[in-house]
Amino acid sequence: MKQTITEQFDVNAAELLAQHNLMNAVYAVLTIIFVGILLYLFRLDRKISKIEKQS
Amino acid sequence: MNWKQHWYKWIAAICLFYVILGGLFLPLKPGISGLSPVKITTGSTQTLKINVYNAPWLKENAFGDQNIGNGEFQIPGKVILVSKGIQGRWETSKIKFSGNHGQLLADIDFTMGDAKIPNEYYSVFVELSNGKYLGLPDAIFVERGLDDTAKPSTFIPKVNAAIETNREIFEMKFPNRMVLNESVRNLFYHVPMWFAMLALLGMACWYAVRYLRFGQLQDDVFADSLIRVGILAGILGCITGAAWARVTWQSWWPAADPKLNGVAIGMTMYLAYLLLRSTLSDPFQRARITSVYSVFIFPIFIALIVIMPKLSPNSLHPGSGGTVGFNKYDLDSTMRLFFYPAVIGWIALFYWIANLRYRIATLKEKQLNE
Repeated sequence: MKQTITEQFDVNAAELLAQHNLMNAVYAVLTIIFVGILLYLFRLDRKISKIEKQS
Repeated sequence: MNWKQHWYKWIAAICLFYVILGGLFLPLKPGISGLSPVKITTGSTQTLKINVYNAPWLKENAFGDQNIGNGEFQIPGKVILVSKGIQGRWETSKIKFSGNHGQLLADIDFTMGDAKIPNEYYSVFVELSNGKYLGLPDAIFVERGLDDTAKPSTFIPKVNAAIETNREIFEMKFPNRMVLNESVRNLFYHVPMWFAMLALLGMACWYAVRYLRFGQLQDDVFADSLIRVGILAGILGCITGAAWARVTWQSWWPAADPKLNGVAIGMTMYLAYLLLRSTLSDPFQRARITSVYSVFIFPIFIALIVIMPKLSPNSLHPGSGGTVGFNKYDLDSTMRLFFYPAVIGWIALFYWIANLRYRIATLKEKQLNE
């Protein structure tokens, strides 16, 4: 009885679930946004430096 | 500190702090993350395999004396299948749960016999004897088997099916959706990029009209800054959308989606704006021509990314064609508590950046005139 029930469950259901919980997509999206905004801020920073040099 | 000048910066800071912390750390509601088989032909007893997510209380709920061993339990409760169109339900109390596998097994006897039951999609609910439950809407299709005529029907008629579906209790947790799973949180980060882009481009359109009306050059400079930062938000929206689509729609850029095509065309129009602006050197001529251009393209942009996908029958995005919009069960009350602050916060942040860019451009202009 014990044996037959164990065999009925999908062996790797828990691992599959852990792999497909998609939390990584959230981290990726947040990282992309922060890197993008930071790059733009660095560009603005360079522009300010140029103005400071000229004055 | 001058509060009148800085209020939106504080709004950006507070909203985004709240949204990022809450959006990352609030758990998902317990739910059913998978089911097999998804199609049942009646006539025999079938075993449903139900994968459960974030439901540690399933284990606690199991009675000790019904522990079968190997982390598997007999569970006191029911698995119920209900359909919106049909009065009645299929149900079983023969449920086993394996904590190690995170999976429920339910044996249901599906026989229609001589009862008149249409082939239909059913929602699956796991209802435990302590009142807790898990649900997955429209998850399984039940159709009559060819040889299903001899035995009496096991379908339980005349039970109000609406009782189960209306039992959502408010919890400070995000909804658990099939396919999306944890990535449902991206609603607070990917979607507001587009709201911010639309808001900034809309404001730019307003300032362009103001320039054409009053001829003040700083209005044009501000409109230009808004458009540039709006394009930044749009690019971030594209890249984050691609990353999200890769894991949910299995493609970086599902080309059949009209929203993506609309955005591609719309972004090109705004990149053309930058090009047009860089070719003109006289500030007044440049301001006049680019203002007219940006007033022209904003409504076209709205039509391309908001209206066209709504009219199209085959967009993957929510709110367009046959897919479900924000107002139905896609956006529940906990999501709203974070989504609206997220939209406000991101718009305020991008507006702040645009304001910085405007001040730098003004300084530069002053320097050139000296």
